[in-house]
Amino acid sequence: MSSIYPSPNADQRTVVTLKSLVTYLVKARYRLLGFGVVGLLLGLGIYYFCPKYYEASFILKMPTANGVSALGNIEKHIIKPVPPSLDAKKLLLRPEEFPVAVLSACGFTDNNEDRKRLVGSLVAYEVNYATAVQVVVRIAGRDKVEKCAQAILAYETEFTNTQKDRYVSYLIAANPKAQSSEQVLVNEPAQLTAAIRISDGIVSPRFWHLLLGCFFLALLLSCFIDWLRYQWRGALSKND
Amino acid sequence: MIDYLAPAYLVQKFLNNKVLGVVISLALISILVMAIGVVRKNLKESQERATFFWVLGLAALLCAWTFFRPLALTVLPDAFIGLFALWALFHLRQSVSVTIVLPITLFIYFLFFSPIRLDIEFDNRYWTSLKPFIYLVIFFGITGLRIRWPIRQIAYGVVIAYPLLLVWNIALWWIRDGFFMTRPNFLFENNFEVPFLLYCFVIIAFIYRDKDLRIYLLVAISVLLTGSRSGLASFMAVSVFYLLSLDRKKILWVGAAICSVLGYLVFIRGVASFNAGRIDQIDRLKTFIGLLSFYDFRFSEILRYPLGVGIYQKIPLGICNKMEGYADWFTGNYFNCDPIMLQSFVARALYQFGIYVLILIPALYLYELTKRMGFYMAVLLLTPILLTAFSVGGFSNGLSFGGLLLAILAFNQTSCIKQLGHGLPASNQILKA
Repeated sequence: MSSIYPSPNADQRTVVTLKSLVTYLVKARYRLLGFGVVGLLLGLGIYYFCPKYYEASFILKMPTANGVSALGNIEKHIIKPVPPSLDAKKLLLRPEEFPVAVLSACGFTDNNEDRKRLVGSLVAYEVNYATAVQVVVRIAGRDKVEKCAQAILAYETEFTNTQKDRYVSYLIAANPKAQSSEQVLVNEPAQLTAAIRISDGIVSPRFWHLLLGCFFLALLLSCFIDWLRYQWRGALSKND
Repeated sequence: MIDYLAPAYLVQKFLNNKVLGVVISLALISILVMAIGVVRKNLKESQERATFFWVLGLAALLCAWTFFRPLALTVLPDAFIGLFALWALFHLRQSVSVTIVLPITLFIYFLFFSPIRLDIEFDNRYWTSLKPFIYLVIFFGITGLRIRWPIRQIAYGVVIAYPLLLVWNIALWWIRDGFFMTRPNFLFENNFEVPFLLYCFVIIAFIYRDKDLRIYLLVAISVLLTGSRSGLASFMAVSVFYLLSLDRKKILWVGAAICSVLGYLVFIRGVASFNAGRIDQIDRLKTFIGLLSFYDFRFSEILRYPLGVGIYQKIPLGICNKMEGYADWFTGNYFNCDPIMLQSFVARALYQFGIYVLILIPALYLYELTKRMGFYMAVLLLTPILLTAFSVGGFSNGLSFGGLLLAILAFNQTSCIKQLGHGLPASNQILKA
């Protein structure tokens, strides 16, 4: 039913057909194969020489306490996260405040560059309608990432519980009756709702993605070089 | 139980909203009269007409089948494009621009080197995101292709049949649920179907140069029936090209038709869905504005991600939760924030590929189309797919891309016939055979 017509104005030299494609692939097979192998070797090299990153994650539920009115009275029916999960998230984004214990657990030393690298290695999200914080950290080495996550968890838990305890102390100070009548109805510490999980395997670099990516890019580079050579020859023959 | 087809019930419904009833009745009569006129004028051979009615009947049956027993037909356009690309590869005979390297490189980069998602998160439906690069490669490989398919009949057939099928879909809704469907479709989401229809219109009006007003009105009624806002915007943009290509008398007629369309939208259909005051309630804009908060509404922040975040990253959870329900709508999970939930190609590409690749994709189309067809046709052919890219689909949608392919094939076929008429190489005489 259908047939194909040659383009009448097309320069025959530049017309590509399936036959010309196959001919090119056959002719350039060794060069393509060579480039492909080099790409694979490059991928393997990157994989074996680059550090292997693992991932650890946990979710920490914020401590909770009662709300307080504008006059400083305890709001019995209002329960809120103290501190807000945003504050807990912000804590992990400040390079200055990480204790040396956290830095060393994550394999970093106490200098400005490493502090920034630690911040760059982790992400924190407010989850469950801002009542909890999810922290994900990526560090080279499986053991190291686990230790790092534990250290960050301890640091975060200590910070949030301290904040909550200060808040509750203020409530009690502002409401003297509360001390005796236990009006501070809610006073819960931070809780780990999703325990520290370590990734199933290496998260970066990914073996097959890296190998195939390098392989195909090398093949493409080979074709592109051939095209440049073809153009160069064309330009030379025109000049002649 | 109410008999939705009982004459008394139908009369009562008509009387409940007389203006809408009259408009719909007029639209139905107009569709039928114009469709018959266009069939008589353009499908002259009895065999052509018989084929058209057979196909129309089968399409109506398929529409009814999918209406009562939904089928997974979303892969159909891509499957067809894939088969066509394979066929085109075997029949490849054209110059191929070296710029084809760009989409291939980007495809390899985004597939193999995109930064990865968190290990605890689900995989994205990233093949949909990669489709624009695959389409570009196919596009570069077929821009010079000349085939003997009956594109003329296909284009006319779609323009005539589509409004009838929409009416049929409305009827199916009425029969089953007693409900007047304001956004009917044929087989796919109507936002996806409209660009294909517009390409058929462009083929007829600008490639075959048939400026029959009935064709324009059939398309206008179809677009209005679908209730697709992006479709309407694309149609209005194409209408500008159409209007400028007409003689004075026809300009008046088309102007009157456009005024009627606007009158229908504002006074009869109700302005709710076209209200500029509620523009931020449009879901695609909502997601786009939500995404912009990721960049803190700063252009400099957008530039900080020159190649986006890649195809594997999720939408940040806080932003994803602001657009509550969209992740669930698209992935079945409130916390699976697949960028597919952003819906529009522009928003998704900005996030996943970065602003440079977002601009590069239409620029590559424009470059190649201009080279092959000239700037005017390039801009015209790019308009429907570009405008729908702001809504759903666009450069990652099979039907939009399929329509563009059909238009290119129709253009090449027509230019080949013109060359035949002006004395041509002997190798092309086969066309006359």
